[in-house]
Amino acid sequence: MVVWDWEAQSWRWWLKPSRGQTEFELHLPGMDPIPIEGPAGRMPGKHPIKGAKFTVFFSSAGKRKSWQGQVVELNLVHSRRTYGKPLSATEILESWQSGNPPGEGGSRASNGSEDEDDDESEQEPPAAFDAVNLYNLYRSTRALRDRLKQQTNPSIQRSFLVGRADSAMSLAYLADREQEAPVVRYLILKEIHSIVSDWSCLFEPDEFAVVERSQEIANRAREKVRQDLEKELGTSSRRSSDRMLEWFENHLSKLDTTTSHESV
Amino acid sequence: MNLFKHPVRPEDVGELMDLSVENDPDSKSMAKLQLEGIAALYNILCKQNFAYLADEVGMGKTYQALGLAALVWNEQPDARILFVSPRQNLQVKWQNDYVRFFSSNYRREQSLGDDRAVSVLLRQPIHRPEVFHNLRSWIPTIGMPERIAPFVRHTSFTRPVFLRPEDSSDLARLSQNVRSKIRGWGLFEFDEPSELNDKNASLELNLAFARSLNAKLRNESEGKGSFFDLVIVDEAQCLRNPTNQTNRVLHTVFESNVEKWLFMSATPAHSGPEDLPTILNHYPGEGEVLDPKLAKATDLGPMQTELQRFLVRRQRKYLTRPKSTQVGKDRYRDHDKKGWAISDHDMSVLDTLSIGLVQKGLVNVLQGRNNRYRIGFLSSFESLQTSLSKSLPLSSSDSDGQDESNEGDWHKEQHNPQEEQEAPDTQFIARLQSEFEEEFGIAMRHPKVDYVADKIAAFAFGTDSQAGGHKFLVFTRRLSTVEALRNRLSNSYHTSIERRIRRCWDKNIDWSGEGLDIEEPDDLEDPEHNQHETLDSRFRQAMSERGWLFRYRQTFRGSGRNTLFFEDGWLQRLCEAGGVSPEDAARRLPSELWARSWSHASRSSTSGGHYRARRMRYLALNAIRHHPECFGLDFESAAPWRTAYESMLHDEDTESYSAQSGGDPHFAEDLFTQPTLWTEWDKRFKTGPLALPVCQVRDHPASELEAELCRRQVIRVLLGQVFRLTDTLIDLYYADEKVKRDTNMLPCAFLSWLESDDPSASQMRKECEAWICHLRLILDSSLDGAGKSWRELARKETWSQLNELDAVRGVVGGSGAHRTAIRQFRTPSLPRVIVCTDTLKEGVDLHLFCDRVVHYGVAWTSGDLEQRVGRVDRYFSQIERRLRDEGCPPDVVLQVSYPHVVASLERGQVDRVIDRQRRVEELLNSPLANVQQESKDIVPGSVKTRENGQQLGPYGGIEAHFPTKRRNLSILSQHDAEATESHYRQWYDQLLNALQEEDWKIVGSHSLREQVQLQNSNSTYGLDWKFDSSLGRYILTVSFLSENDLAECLYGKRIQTGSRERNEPQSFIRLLVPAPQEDSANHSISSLLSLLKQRYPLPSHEAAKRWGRRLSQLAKSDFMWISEDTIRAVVGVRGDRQQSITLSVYDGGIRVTSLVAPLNELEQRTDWGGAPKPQPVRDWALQSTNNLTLGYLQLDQNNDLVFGTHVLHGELPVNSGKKLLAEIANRADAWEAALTGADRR
Repeated sequence: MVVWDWEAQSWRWWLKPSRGQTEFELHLPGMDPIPIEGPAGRMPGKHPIKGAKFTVFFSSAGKRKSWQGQVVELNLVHSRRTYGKPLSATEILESWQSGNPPGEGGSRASNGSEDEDDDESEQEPPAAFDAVNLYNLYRSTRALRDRLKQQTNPSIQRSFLVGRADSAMSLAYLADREQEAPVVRYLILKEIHSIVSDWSCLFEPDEFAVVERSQEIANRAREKVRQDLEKELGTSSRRSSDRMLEWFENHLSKLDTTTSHESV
Repeated sequence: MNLFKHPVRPEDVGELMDLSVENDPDSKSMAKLQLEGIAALYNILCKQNFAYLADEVGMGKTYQALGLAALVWNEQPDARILFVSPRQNLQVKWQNDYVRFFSSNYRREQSLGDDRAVSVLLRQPIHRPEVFHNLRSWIPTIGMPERIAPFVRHTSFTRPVFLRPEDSSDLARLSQNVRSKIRGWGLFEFDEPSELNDKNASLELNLAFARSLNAKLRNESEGKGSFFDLVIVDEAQCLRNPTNQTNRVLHTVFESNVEKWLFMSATPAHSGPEDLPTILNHYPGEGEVLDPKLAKATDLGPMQTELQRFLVRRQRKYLTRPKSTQVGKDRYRDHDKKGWAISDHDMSVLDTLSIGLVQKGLVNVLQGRNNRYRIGFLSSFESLQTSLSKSLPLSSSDSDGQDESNEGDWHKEQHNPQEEQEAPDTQFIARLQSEFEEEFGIAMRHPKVDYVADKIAAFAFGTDSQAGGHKFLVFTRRLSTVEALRNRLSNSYHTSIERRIRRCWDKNIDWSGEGLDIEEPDDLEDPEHNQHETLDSRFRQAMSERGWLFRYRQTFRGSGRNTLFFEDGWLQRLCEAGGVSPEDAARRLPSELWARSWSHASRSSTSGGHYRARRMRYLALNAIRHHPECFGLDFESAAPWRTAYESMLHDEDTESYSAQSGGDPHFAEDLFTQPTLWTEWDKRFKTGPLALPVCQVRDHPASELEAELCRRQVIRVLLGQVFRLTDTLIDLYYADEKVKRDTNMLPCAFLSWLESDDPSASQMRKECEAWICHLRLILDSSLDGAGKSWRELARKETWSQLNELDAVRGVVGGSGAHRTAIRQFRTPSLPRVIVCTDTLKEGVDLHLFCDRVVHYGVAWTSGDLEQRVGRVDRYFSQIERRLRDEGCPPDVVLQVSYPHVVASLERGQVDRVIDRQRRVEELLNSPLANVQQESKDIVPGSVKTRENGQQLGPYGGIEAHFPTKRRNLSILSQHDAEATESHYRQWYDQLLNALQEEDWKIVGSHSLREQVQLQNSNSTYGLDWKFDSSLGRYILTVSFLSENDLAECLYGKRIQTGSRERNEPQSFIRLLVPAPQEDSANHSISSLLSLLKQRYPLPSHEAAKRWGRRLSQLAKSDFMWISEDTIRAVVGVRGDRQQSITLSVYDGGIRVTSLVAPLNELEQRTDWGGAPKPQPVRDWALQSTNNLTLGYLQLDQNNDLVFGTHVLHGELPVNSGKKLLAEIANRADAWEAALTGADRR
């Protein structure tokens, strides 16, 4: 069995040779062939494409033979990959609002073909942040928060945050890949980090890196926004742009804890 | 009585009126459509007591209604017609259209009136249009013989009796007070409300008022079934809620008092099909005329069929060329969403953060409201400035009724009026804004404001590479947005000027003008100076009395060095006409004329300066009058020049100056040769759209010369004013600097800029072209020129309507001060942008030069959005002209824009609104198209349903209302009208001649239509003609304009009032002008001359002998001589009522009086402050007399209030005399009823 461990960012394999089989060599996608010398092994590397296969060459009865298998992904919580049909930012937000899992509602994915999924590769997933409507963002995040509260099964709750095509982290990774619309991206990432950190209890200690990652992505976006704001305000002082950004952040956060009645 | 008895064909109506635009053959088809509409409405009203005019917006519904009114008055000249419109601005528009219709369209072919709807001599409507700001001011006119066309407003019915909350503490007393109050207004019947409590007091007491008014109308209905022959209700959708207070009061007032109703609305089913049966089954009082079930049916076809019995609806289409096809609005309107969508890239970091925060807040706000909001009603869609109710320092000085609601319930929804007053997010936005400002000292920004301002500015004011000149009408929902947008646009305007000056003149403007060396102006009155200066912009400040541009502008006036710049080449043009060189002509002019011109110009100056312009004008006028040979012209060929110059240069029309002693200054050849703007203009623009009339003098046909010269003058004056009063003055300044202030070079320098390739020059050329090409349309629509000849118009030296030109105007509240802005917007010049609330969504025409509407904040319904776009989408609009002249859609479109932030909640709203609009436009011509309960609310994220996609069959069948044969209306022939005019003209000429012989100086036109002044060394009088339609007589009023008193109350007296004190005549003589066959000895003229010499007539036995027999014939048998010079007679008036008449004979004529009532029988009245006392009643009588056409009211020495008149001769033919006596008696009786509550039924 060959496994890609998302948490360790490394390959692991276990070999149980049959009688008469020798000179094992493991071919992993994007890696040089690895001679296998023991029943198990580990090697850091680059994560494989989705649905990647491995090949084991060996000698048997004087002949070189091989067999193929599917790479198994482990510790998906640490994966930045979208599992299932890749969704655009708007589709993810729509799914939060509608409560329909990807592929069941009116999202773009449901209209796609299975072939599309088969063709999935590591290319840029569809994302159009220009089209992200901020009202929809906040309405959807509110819906997601509500769903997290209503759901009692931790594994399902966790799937809202990671793993699924419409998970919060899927959107975060989508936003992180974009270069355009830095403020909108930051607002999205800030919301996601806020949700993920509010629900960090769902993660095992070894999965906690997800929370940190969401923070790290958001911080990166924040810095870009802060620099742009500094230029815009025409001040050379980092303090004033920080102060203004903090003001917005505080007010945005306050709205998470304000009921609709209080807000009006 | 033919009224509403016999149907007419459109051709019959066409005999009475021409609704096309003069000299515009393209307007004929529209005019035909309107004549058909008028005939159809009349014929519908022949069959039933109501009709509904529901043509699309911009089809000229108002003119059709006025045409119907004219037709009614042609049939029955004393018919009473009332006009009800929703708001003050619409009242004013109606009044303006009314005047324009009767001066330009009614009997255009005959060119003279008919004394039925329009007076022959005066060309004024017989029924004087009068706008009433509240019902109280309308009441005194009810039952009075003066014929008026009353314009009331719907909101006046909301709370005619205003009660304060604290009044309800003592209900018995309140009721008594209201009773007393309305008695003081002249309503004497009071039907006490039966059950009054503090909740219903306002409604019940207002209904009690309505019942009193209803009784008054019935009392005055003169035995006819109803007081009003026709009531015209504009925007009749305002009647759709019959249970609200406004409509309950209105219904109560008019119940059984209206013979015929005309309802008008482009959106008759404003809230749904049921609006129609609701209105039609309720107000006309005919029971159920339209089955309400039809409105609820799924299939509206049967309802549509029913409507065709009484509802006229046509669709507006424009002709395109060269393909010559008709296009509807579904094709030529471009609902532009993309072009005005503000994407993330368009927003700054701060913008996006602000929008993000607001959007998050909205999620909370809407969650508390079931995630639902009303279209167009969220504050945050517009700006992040504070509250909706913020009042603005804009021109919002509307003086709607003092004790009446400005808005009434016109705008408010019945189910929850409170909810509509504040948007759901207002408080949230206000709090955010305030905290942000407190923290950072700056306002939180809304990207939409800046984006829209920038985008509009580029098209309106131009850029470095693109000409501006486009006009925009921007609708917002919030007052604060108007201010925000106006400020930004105003800044952009200034920036565009600064950039232009850098590009074209290589200078940087210092708006303060510090350090500029500009001459100090003469101390003379400047008619173009802003009366109400608003110094809220840099340009305005520079143009203000302290500013440098003001000082520079003065160089073009008085004795300024550029005084000749805006003058026509008066003398040069005469030289060209006669083919004589200017030098020769200058030498040929008599030295004495040169000398007199010097005296004239010197004396005209208050500061003793020498005004070259006035001198040139004086020379031109007097030279063409007396010495045409100097220019090589004979008397005949000079005639058109002479007539035109007499109009254009009338200010210099004085020959009383004696020549000063000779000397060098007298001869100034340069007045013949100095280039002016217009002489240079003619050289550069000999042909093409910028060529002025009579550009080539010698090629011009003599038959049209005078009119064309006058037209040229009008254009010159208007363009000159535009150049002086807009930022073009800055270009003039820098052109002047460039030529080092050489006055001979300035015209060239300025015109070189105008001809340059700079976008600003191109823009200005287009503007000038538009003025020249559409001059008549502009004059008629925007500058009160309707019905006036070129000669009359050429007399104007300045057009006050063009003063105070601003590039951007904000309009909120009622009409008031906005009228100027609205007029100016209908010219090719400034303003370029009007930013307004929905106050301008109805009844205002802004179409002449604007084809861009921006829905900055959208309205609730498609109907309201349609009304907004309808301001610019009308016949004779810019879009109509462009489609006709420039091409077809999509190259030529009317742009309707919906600015919005893509990343916000507003995006969904815009999608929804555009979708609705497009569907409305696709639908057929039916009044019911797309009306089924259009939801005003949006639920974000909900699936869109197709709202009412019902297709109705074609609506039409107007021909079914026409009879097969034509009908001959009573139309006074041109020949007979000319005979009438000729008689009065001759009498007037005799009078003026006699006055001149007695050394009276006549100042002003000798036209009967204009007031003239009589002057001698002691006194000044005004002469004013009026037509009294009830009597069928022309009346001349001679007003005394100086402080000496005349003839006391015998002839009436006016009171000086308020700010008009200087011009208000104190006293006057009213003269019944002799009709044909009367006063063969011209006694009236000699009597008048005596009076003017302050020789007052005395009672005369001799005169009694001379006229006694005839007078006794007038009084029939029921008379007696009560003294040797006085007859008393009894005249029957209405029903079995009688009036006592007294005829007194003087050596200067006869006096007829009739008792109204003794002082002690008069009721208490607000006008005289409660119970009647002699002095207040006397004052009131004098003031009331001021408004009369005929006669006067007077409290005599016995404290009897009498009504009477004086005839300056005693030769009244028996029939005329009897009619006069009957009228005096009738009017006295009407006053008695009004002042004592006497029952006239």
